Amino acid sequence: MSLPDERLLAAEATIDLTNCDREPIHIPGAIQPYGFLLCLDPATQRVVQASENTAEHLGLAATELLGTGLERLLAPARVAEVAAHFATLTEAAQLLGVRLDLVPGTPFYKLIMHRFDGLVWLEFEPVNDAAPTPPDLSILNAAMSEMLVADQLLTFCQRTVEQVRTITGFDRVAIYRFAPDESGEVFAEAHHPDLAPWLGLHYPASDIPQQARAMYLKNWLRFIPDAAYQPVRLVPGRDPATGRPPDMTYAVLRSVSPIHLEYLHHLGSAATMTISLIQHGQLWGMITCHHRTPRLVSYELRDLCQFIGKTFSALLNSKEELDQRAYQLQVRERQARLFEHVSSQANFVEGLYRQSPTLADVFDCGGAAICFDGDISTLGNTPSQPQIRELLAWLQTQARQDVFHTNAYATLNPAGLAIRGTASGIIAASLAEAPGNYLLWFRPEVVQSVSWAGQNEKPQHLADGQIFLSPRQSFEAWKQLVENTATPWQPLELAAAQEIRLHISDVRLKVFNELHARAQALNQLNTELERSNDELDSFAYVASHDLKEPLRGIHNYSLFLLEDYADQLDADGVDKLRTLVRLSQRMEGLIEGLLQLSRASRLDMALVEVDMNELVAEVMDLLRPRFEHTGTTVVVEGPLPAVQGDRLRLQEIINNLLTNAMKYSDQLHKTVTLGVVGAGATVPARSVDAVHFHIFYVKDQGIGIDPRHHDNIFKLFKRLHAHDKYGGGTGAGLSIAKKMVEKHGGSLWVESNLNQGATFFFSLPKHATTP
Amino acid sequence: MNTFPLKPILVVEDSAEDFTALGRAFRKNVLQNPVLRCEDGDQALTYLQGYGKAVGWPAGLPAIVLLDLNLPGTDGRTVLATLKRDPVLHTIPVIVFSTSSSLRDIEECYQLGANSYLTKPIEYAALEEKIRVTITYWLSASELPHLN
Repeated sequence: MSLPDERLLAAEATIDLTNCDREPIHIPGAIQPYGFLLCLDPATQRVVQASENTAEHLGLAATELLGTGLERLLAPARVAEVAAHFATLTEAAQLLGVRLDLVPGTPFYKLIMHRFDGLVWLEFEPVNDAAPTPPDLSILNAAMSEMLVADQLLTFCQRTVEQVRTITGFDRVAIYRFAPDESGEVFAEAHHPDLAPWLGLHYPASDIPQQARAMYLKNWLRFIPDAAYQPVRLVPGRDPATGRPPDMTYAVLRSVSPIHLEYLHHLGSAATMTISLIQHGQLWGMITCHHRTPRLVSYELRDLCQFIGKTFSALLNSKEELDQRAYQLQVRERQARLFEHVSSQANFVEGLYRQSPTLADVFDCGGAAICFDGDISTLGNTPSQPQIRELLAWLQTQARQDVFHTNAYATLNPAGLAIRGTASGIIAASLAEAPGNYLLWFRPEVVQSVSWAGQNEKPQHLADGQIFLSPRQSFEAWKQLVENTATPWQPLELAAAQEIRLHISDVRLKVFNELHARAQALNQLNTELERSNDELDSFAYVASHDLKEPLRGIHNYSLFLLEDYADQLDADGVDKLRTLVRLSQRMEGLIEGLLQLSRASRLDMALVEVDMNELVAEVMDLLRPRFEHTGTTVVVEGPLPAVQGDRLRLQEIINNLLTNAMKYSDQLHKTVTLGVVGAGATVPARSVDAVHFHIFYVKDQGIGIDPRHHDNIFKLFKRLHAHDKYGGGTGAGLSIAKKMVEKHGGSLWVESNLNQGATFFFSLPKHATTP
Repeated sequence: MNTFPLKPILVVEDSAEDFTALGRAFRKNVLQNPVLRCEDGDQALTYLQGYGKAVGWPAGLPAIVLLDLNLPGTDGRTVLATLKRDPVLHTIPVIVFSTSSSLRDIEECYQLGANSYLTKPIEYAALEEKIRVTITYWLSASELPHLN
């Protein structure tokens, strides 16, 4: 995984912001001073390189050790013991406790051995006791139990950091998790109460350069007991065999990048330990430990922490799956409840937002919108309605997709910049063939939803204008990269959107089909009704005409019989013939009534402005002889309004009502009153709108009508009395009058009690267009 | 060739009973003119368009035509329209004599050129009166066009 040589910089090159990704951190040619390093040629087992600090540790200059073997430090028996490991040595470290017999004071060291880059690496860390401390299994056991039972990723991480802090005693232990874009977030943390929390802080990807990530995949644990150390160079700087600095990827003492030390200084960290967390061969995150003062952690303890890191990595999949499954379960459950709402609401659109869970609750999003038939209903944090309309217009310019999604809308449409705060991420599920019908889900720009570590720090400059080497300055550049970007939509969220879309489409189709079927049925009924109305009208018309002809014959022939053969008939015969004549006359009256009724509804109305004062006067002129004959006085309580109406029909109505008032009375002198109900006056037993209607009345003091007959009197040919009583009549008059009033958009009704007179009311709309 | 002493009147009427009543009313009013009857529209048109020569009746056109509207086959409206479009026949007064009191029928007949429109009353007495007025008006009071 090392970078190609040609991309590496010369060891002497100045490292700055522009090349820090190319800094060759695996070949620093230096170590940390808390131990010393000897590199041996595997064949000769002679020292080819040594760290300069052997002088401090052993009292021997590095140059003195070059070309010698371990026998310079150890008793011969020990040398053989150590050398026995060399044959099987790989990059995986092996640990031995050694007493340096030949060094004054015979100090104890831990010897960490590995073989890499054509060298045997012997790293010596000083300890008080040469015997390796056995790992504390009870502590490990407790830590493992805590980690195993965690049922969520977050609890899993939290327990891990707590255990690591307990075991190591660092001031702060945090789990740092990488996003797909390699930026990091402090996901779990355990810290000393004096320290400010870092939980939730985000760090740009450039904080950990590419080559460092590559190295962290190989080397699980990095340790800096004192960040203020002075690097100790190797002597010589280059491997004599290869002519370049040796690859220290697996060296525990490796000296780190000066940029990293600057970074630690910035964080206020004097000692750190980081453990890689690896999933599917990718760096998932790190356990990072910090201490405010230098802190030396024993190799065994570091080994144990590395074990925890590896166990964590192994368990990670199952913990993430738990989370994913829990989320999936929640999404499914809410989706099911949403579908219930949709089915139970008369208007399925309302089912999407009226009750919880709404469309916006099914999966994690900032807000949602339901765009249907030109209406937009929003939930949570969304762009404004006009902005959503712009978005809909843009969506329609795109290739049609059932479910469109993006987590960086502004990169597709520059107009999206205006709504990045609410809608950098968008899912648009198209609902129907009709354009503009969509379900929308929104996610805000990430940069707005998180806290940035060191956001407020200003870039610092050296006097000569060169940029000060702080990783923090990469923040602005990084921010440019993630701006306008939302957390990506997960496959399960897109699947849920698709399912909701299909469900709604199904419901819509069902509703549409039902409506369509109902409209068709209604249409057919209307057509049938119209046809049957037409048929009825023409039937009445034709029947009346055709009925009249034979009837006229019966009538005439009866008369001719009476005239021509009267002398041959006896009184009874003559009487029977007269009855025949009378019946034929009544029959003619009935037919005429039927004809008029059909005509009242058949013919088009000729609407004109009619002065009711004039019209009533005209009708009264016509009826005057009959009024005089029956002793009737008609009082008009005027003035009457002008109305929009069909003149002939209005005449017919007035004529009919006045004639009835005159006929149905036993009194010798009769008074009939005709007038209009004033605005605001209430009409008994019926609330008729006197604002939009003129309400006329014709009131008599006649025989009255029993309320139980109030409906009957408007039925065709319905009479309440014998044919020869009250001036006869066919009983068609009120039916015809009622039909004519209704043709005008009004209604005709009666208020009356037996023997207490009757008042007929009819209403006419003040504006002819009122139905 | 035979000719009528007085110009005939033509009655186009399919109903025998109505024609009987009409004849009775003519007699009551002492009508002098001969009365010709056609039972349907086609007969009436054949007679009139042949100027009387086609059916063996004495030659000559009628003084007036009393025309029923509802006739079998070619109905009264068509007869009326045909007569009023004819360059010669259109001057003969046509009096529509119909059961219908419908405004639409009345309006239509006058539009087609009817000279008068009478509704057939059910009361015989009323019929007799209408016939009296009609005879008096058209055959006594009026000067009619000279066609022959």
